Amino acid sequence: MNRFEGSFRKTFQGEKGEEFSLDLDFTLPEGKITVIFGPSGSGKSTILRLIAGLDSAHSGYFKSSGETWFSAETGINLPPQERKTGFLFQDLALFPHLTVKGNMNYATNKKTESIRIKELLEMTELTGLEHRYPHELSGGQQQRLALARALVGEPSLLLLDEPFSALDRSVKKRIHEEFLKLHNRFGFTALMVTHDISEAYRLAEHAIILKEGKKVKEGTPEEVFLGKTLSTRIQIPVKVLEMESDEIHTLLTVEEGRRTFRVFVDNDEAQNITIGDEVIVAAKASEALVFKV
Amino acid sequence: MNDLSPILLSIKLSLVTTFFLFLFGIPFAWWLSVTKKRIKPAIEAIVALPIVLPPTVLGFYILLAIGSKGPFGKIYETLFDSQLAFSFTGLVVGSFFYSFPFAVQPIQSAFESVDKKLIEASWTLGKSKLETFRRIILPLSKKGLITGGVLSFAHTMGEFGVVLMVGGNIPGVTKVASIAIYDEVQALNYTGANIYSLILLLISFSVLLMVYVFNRQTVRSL
Repeated sequence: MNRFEGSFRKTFQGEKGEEFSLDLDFTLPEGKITVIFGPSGSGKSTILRLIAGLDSAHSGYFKSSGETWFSAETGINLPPQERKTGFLFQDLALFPHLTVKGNMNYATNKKTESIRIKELLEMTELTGLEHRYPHELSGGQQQRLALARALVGEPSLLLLDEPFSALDRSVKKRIHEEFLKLHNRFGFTALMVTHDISEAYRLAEHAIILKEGKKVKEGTPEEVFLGKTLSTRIQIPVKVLEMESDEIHTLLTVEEGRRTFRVFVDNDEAQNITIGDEVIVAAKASEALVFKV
Repeated sequence: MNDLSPILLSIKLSLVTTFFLFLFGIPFAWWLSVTKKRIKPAIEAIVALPIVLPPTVLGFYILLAIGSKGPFGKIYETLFDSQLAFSFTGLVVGSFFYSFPFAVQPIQSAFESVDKKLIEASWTLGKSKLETFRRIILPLSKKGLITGGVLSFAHTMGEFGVVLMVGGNIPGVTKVASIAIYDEVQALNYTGANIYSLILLLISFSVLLMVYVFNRQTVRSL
């Protein structure tokens, strides 16, 4: 069984050129999907790059089942080739000169069985498209190919750098389902970074909120995103489309998937919400109306 | 009928020079594309010098270096017991430096335009730096490699000043097509000059045409 733990300190420049430091200790639960949620420029991608060996930190360490991959103290820094990680890049990094099959075969080593490639292609619904080049695939198919390719080498840890952020909602939802299906089948440990709260909420089994390089919250998605356990409440992650206020209330028009609906909140609660925010609408289950369709 | 040996000699010189430019130019271009050394601009400027220098200046310094009294000339004579200047090998050395930027620059810019993420993706898929270079970087730089190769070939076909300085005008040994044309004009044999010129023109045109047709196909397939 693999257990991953690490601690990183690194000072670097954020997107607006301001200096800030990443300062994080973490453990990744075995076989679970951990999501690091935070705004862009909070150092999320750097964490993945540090784990994969594409970047190095000023101090800290990273261990996989007791094997040190990185240690600033002893100078150990395994090259990316020797760390058993799968990396799903934000822009996918599919090799444009290789076909679907070629991209998958590239990831193989002597031990890989062709049965695994066949199964991965089947599970990601790419069977029959083996001879297409990446530019001949749809956005969703490209995502699934990148995902399948990252899993060919049986990585002990899958790292995902906001890979689904460019997709529209309906495609994203399908990819999420497929990702969960692959996770159930292969049981890998995964670490995903995202700034999409609904994605974080949907996929995470363990969540960490990162702000300016520091961990501000950690726990189950319910604890982290809702502040407490709310199992008798209905929780829906939504996006705020419109806000209209009178003296007491604010009417929010929100979107979930393709549906929009409206909710009333007090003006006090609405104060730190702006249009475009991803929020969670929760309601007491005891007050829910249920209709048969 | 013209003696075709100058044309054949030009083609041979261009092929041999292009071969060595690939052999040394590809690793050098790769090094330039990844190095973060502060002297990089100075090295790039030195590499680009032959583009702006009069060929006679370059030829003069190469002659000084490889002539019987030059440092490289002396070493060569001790090793091979023959003169380097005014020989075919000397011509290859001169052409190599003269065409170096034409090979290195397109290849370097092709290497630099390969998406860094693809290289990192290859590393995370367990592939070594060398294998990544061979299977990802080189194929994706195909256009730059072909451009570099063709420019080296065509540029060597057309050189005059450097060849004349370094190789002189020895029939069958160092008398290449461009020099043969000059000779024919000096002898007022315009017909002969015309034939050589036309052949050179056709070769240059065909080579360039091939590149443009190829580039068009590459653009289409992407």
